[in-house]
Amino acid sequence: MSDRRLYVDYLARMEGDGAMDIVIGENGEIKKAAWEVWEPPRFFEAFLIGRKVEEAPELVQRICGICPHAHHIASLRSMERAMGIKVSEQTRLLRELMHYSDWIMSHALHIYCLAAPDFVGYESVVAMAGNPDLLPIVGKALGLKRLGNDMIVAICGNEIQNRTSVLGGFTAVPSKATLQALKERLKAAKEFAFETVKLVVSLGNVAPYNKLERKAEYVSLYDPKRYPINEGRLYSNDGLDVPDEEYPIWILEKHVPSCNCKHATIKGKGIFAVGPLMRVNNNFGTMSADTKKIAAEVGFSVPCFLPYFSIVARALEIVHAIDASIELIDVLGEPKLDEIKYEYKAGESYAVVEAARGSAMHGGRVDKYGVIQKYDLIAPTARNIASLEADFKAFVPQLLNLPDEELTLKCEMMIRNYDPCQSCATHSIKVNLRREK
Amino acid sequence: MKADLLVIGCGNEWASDDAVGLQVIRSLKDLDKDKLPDGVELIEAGTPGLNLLDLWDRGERVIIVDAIKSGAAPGTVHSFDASLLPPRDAMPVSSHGVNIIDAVELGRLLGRLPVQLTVIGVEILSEQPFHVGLTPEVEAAVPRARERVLEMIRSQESCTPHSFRPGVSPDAEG
Repeated sequence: MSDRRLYVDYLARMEGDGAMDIVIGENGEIKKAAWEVWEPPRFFEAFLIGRKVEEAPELVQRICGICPHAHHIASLRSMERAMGIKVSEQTRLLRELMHYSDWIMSHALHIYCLAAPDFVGYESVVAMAGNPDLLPIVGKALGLKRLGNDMIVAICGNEIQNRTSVLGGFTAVPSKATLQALKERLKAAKEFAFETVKLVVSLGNVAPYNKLERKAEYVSLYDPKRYPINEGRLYSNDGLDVPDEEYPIWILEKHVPSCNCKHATIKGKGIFAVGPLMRVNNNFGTMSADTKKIAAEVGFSVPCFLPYFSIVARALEIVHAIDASIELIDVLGEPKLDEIKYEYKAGESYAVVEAARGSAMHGGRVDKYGVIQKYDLIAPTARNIASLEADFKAFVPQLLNLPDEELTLKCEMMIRNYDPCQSCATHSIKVNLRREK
Repeated sequence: MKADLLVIGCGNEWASDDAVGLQVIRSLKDLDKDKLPDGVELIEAGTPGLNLLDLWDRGERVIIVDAIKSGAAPGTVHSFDASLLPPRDAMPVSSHGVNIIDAVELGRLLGRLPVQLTVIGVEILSEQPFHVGLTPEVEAAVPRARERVLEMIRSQESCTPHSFRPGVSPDAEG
């Protein structure tokens, strides 16, 4: 009796390193479906204890080179909340613009460099660029990613980790001329963003991708008036609707053997998923008018429980991020340098932001001297591990007629649907498929 | 405006000898100003991945200084035209693994290579993670690699005298 085992010890096109192990029994039942993340634990939560509160947002942005601003802003908001610091409206808007820049960069990278090669049958973006039909698209994709990076430089003074955003506000702000120049580039990028939506729908809207549906609890921030990126209530399509600072009360986690990540459930309920598809499902109503228009044009509507359509949700969010950034630049006008002023105060709080790849939470307790006593952080990838394993269990039995190599690839794609970031998640891809014959 | 010559040092500060490209750039920055002509820009790029394409848009001629493993003695300084880079033997493991070979290949396909792209590679011994500092053999190669950069600046030419074949040490002074 032999099992059919799909095992990939180094999964390609991921942010960081991990492995996958799937064992299929002789009757097609899934005996094991594990995603093993083995980037080492990072111990951020431990070494932040005893640091001054200003250091937390500085240090946590080093967690990741793809979504540093998500970690940074969640940390800022939680520490400000803990000490009762109110920031100016301009600071809130600049933080939004900073984070949308990150979304544009990250989504462009994911769609074209990590996910699309799977759908079109290339092993990497470089191989994909070898196809003369796809080469111009790769060129434009790198341009879109560059735009995201350039926006980050304009606001943060640095390619990746910011040098301007601090507890209470900003130490430098971009000029109106700089923002206007970015606005022109954003306007010019819209056409390619529409093209991207059409392209990824054509990639996803084929069997088996458009058949593999799994209804699940989708968690994201929610705001009835504004697409949530940095602020909103913690919400799900199945009844969760609580203030975001209550995240640690509602989201519970446990350690799982073989994985450096913790698995998560909603208190009194089961597992859930986070990410762009979940955000779009929960917040489609507040996406920009052009986003809704292109969604209608390509026949995308919510609810959508097709994990392989995550790439479509990402593309829609690029359109939305461009529109939202243009609007933010208009509202910001000529930013002025606000005075940064606050006092240390003992307190404890938490905050959730929407990283490109899903909800991230930071927070903890600060004493009256502004020294951190306790710190918790939760990256979106860690939230999705249980959901991914549920995808494996639901979808692999429907794909058993595929040869091992192809089935393994489909499983790898299930992982990439979540755009996982192992580096972020560890506090933690390789695919391993075994069938019993 | 584009720099006449852009020198880009690549490497990870936290992986021992992998940082040698950064150290060569720093040693160039330490030189007296008159040693470096106007129009030479020095960049410590870390591990830029595909961002290399954007970086080398900024220079007419580009030199990349990076760690290399070809089997030669540690500390050997190679220099060769980027077109001589060997093909990749495996695809990158993750977005963290994108390297200069991918960037050159994509740059070639997109027509985004500089007029002249030269690699100065220092043969390394150790990539020990979370270790800061070069091994003595590689440390000793930093002035030689710097001299190679300065030769190229002076000659305004490519690096044909030190052409490179993978697996062979082309550098007698190594």
